[in-house]
Order: sequence, then C-alpha cells, then structure tokens
Amino acid sequence: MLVDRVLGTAQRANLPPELEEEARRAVRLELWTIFFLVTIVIVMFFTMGSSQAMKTAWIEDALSLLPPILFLVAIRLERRQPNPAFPFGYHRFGSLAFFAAACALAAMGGYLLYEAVVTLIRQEHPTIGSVQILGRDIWLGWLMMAALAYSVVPPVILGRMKRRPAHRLADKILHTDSQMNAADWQTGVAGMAGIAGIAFGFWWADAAAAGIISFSILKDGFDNVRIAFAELLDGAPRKLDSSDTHPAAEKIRNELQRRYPGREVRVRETGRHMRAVIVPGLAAELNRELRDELAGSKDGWRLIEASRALDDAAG
Amino acid sequence: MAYSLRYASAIFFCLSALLGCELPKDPSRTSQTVRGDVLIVGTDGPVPPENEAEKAALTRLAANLNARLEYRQAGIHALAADLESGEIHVLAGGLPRNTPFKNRFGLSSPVSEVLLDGKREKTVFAIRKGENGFLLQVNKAVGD
Repeated sequence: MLVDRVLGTAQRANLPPELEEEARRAVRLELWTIFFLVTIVIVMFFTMGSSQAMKTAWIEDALSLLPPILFLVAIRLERRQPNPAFPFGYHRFGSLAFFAAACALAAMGGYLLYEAVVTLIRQEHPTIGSVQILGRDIWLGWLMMAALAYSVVPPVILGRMKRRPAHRLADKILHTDSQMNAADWQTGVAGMAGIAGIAFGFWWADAAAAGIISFSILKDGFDNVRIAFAELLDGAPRKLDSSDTHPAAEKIRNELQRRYPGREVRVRETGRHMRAVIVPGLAAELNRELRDELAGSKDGWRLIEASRALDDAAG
Repeated sequence: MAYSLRYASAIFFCLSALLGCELPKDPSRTSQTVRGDVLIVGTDGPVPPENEAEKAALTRLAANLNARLEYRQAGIHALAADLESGEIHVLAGGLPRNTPFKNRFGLSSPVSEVLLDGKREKTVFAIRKGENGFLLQVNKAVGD
C-alpha cells in the first residue's frame, strides 16, 4: 500500500504504537490532499482564462501542494538511522520542512495582498470572456465560480481532519498544512464573492475580497515563521500554534531540576521530539585544556558543551 | 429537514433570479449606452472592414442591440484612447489576438484570421476593459 511505501521500512522505533497508527492516518490524509489539490489545479487551469483573480487562486492552490509534500518527505526521513554523517539522526528535518512550509504560507499571503493592492491602485477592470458550450455562450465567470466551489470543498474537510493528528503527533508541518487548507477555502469563497461582484459590475470587488483575506493568511504565515525560527535557533519547544513554551517542556525542565538540584536544565526541540540536557554535565571539567585536548588547539573554542543525554529511543 | 428544504428553495430562487436578470453587468454601462442608440466601431483600416466575418459579426451585434452601426476611422493610438474613454465601443479591423495593446483592452473570441509575417494569427475585436456584459454580447455576435 502507498502508505507503507511512503513510510518506508521503519528502521527506527520512533513513535509509540498508538501514535504510529495516527501517523499512518496523517500520511493517508496528506496523500488524499495531494490528489485533490492536483485535480483542483487542473480544473482551475482550464477555467482561469485571462482572469487575474483566478490566476492568483490557482498559484495559491499550487503553492499549497508544498506542505503535504514536505510532510511526507519529513516523516519518511526522520525514521532513518543516525549515521556518522548525521549522528543525531534526521529528526530535525521536520524543523527545516516546517520553516519552508511556514514561508510558503507567508509568501501566499504576501502575494495575495500585492496582487490586490496593485489591481486597486491601477484600477484594473477585470475582463472575463465567454465560452461556447453546446451552442450557448456561457460567461466564463460562472464556470470560474463552479471551479472555485469545487476547490473549496476538499480542503475544508481535509483541513479539519488533520487537526487531531497534528496535535497528537506534535507535527507542526501538518498543523501549518491544515491552516493552509483553511486559507484555501477562505480564498475560494472570497474569489466566488469577487466574481459575483464583477457580475454585478463592481470591478473592485474581487481585489477587495482578496485583500481582506490576505491579512489573516499573512498573520498565520508570520506566526509560523516565528515559531520555526525559535526551533531552528534551539529555542525552548513551542506550542503548535503560538510562540509560548510547550507545557510538556516546562514540566520536563522542572522535573529534571527537582531530580538534579543545583544543575541547569536545557530543553530544546528537534522536529516533533525534545532533547533535554543537564548542565553541567562534564562542564566542570570542560576547561581550556580539556577543550584543546578534545578538539585540537585551533578548534577548542568551538566546543561549548559536552553533556550526558537522558536519552531513550532518540539515540 | 424543513429548514434544509427552505434553504434549498431559497438558494434555487436566488440562482434563478441571478441568471434571469442581465448578468454580468458593465461597470461603465456600455451595453445600456449602445442599446437602442448607436454602436460606434473604430478601425484604422478601410471602412467598413474588408473582412466578411468581421463585417457580419458587427452587423449582427448592432442588430442584437437595436443600434445603428457607425464607423470611425483613425490611427490606432487615437482609437485606443477613444476606446478607453468610451468614445468608441468596439475596435475592429484585423486586430491580432496577441496585439501589444492586449493588456489595455478586453478581447473578444477569435473572429477571423490574418497572415502576419507569414504566420496565421487569429483576429479579435477589442472592447473597453471590464465591460463583461458587453463582451458577452460581442462574443455572441461573433459566434453566431
């Protein structure tokens, strides 16, 4: 089955069994997402004509293919065994992919806002032609509305279904993806309202609707980029949907501090997992001489931590 | 159940109302201006256009709108400005589909063909940008 092909042969016990099932469900959801998005992109391509509004919606739908693809790549890669080239394993690929997905969301919001502002400033009156179907001339606007209506339905359903696995798996890419699906349906509805507006002779309706929607997408995008930065900068583990520290990370830190009094505890995030370090590990002994001895006199300064990990499956 | 039936009939009613009235409309009311009055066609070539398909389509368009057909001959740049300000309603006369003015106008479905630099190019009519109702009228006249 396709899900097994994506996950590969699990080389590394990664998740507890009950979450392994959730991961398979998430993979299945993302495969469906890719399938529907591809059909939507094709339908939209054939109806967009010269309409700028439809072109924007189309680019957006194409862009929202990125998070599901990144998710599938990440969940496959993170199962690989650590090796001399990647001694900590590949968990952090998730962090990197999340950063890319967050950038895609922000870029989508930015692009939408830019298009809307340019259309309004230049007062570009969107011109939508017609096609002949069965001998009748049908205004392309009606077909666009039908295509947009189709483009709205799958993301709404899939986006909602992804929320639970995203939280249970602590998967930020999946979470961003469900936000992106929400953005898709918002822009779809805005696009329909815009084309209805054009039908009634309000040339600005389309751009105005897109402009309003773009703000919420931009906000989601920037929020996610901030969380991704924190993760890439070894910040404390954040919640899925805000820059607040995750309660589990707080609990780990407090608990370790209680058990090892007088030591500093640092918790950081690698992909969906957390790594805790108790300092000083070997820090008491880690003086100038030892550093130079370990790393060579030229690179001794680069070694700033040598600690014992409280480690289970993470290797 | 009763609610969903009521919603369905409301939506059906709105949709049929939407299709019943004359949509799409023109932001600058070209269709209303022309209807029952005069359809002004600008061209930088001979008057009337030599191409039979163009001439026939323009005659049909005027007849569909109960309007008198009037030609105005001028240079392409003057015509472009006139089209944008609504002085003329259609720009005709072997305008290729990939005209450099295509971002300034709304373009109709292909009307005919010309030979440009040895290549066959589809020709179109140009109308004022965003006049979607009028464009639908033009395309109907072209297609018939």
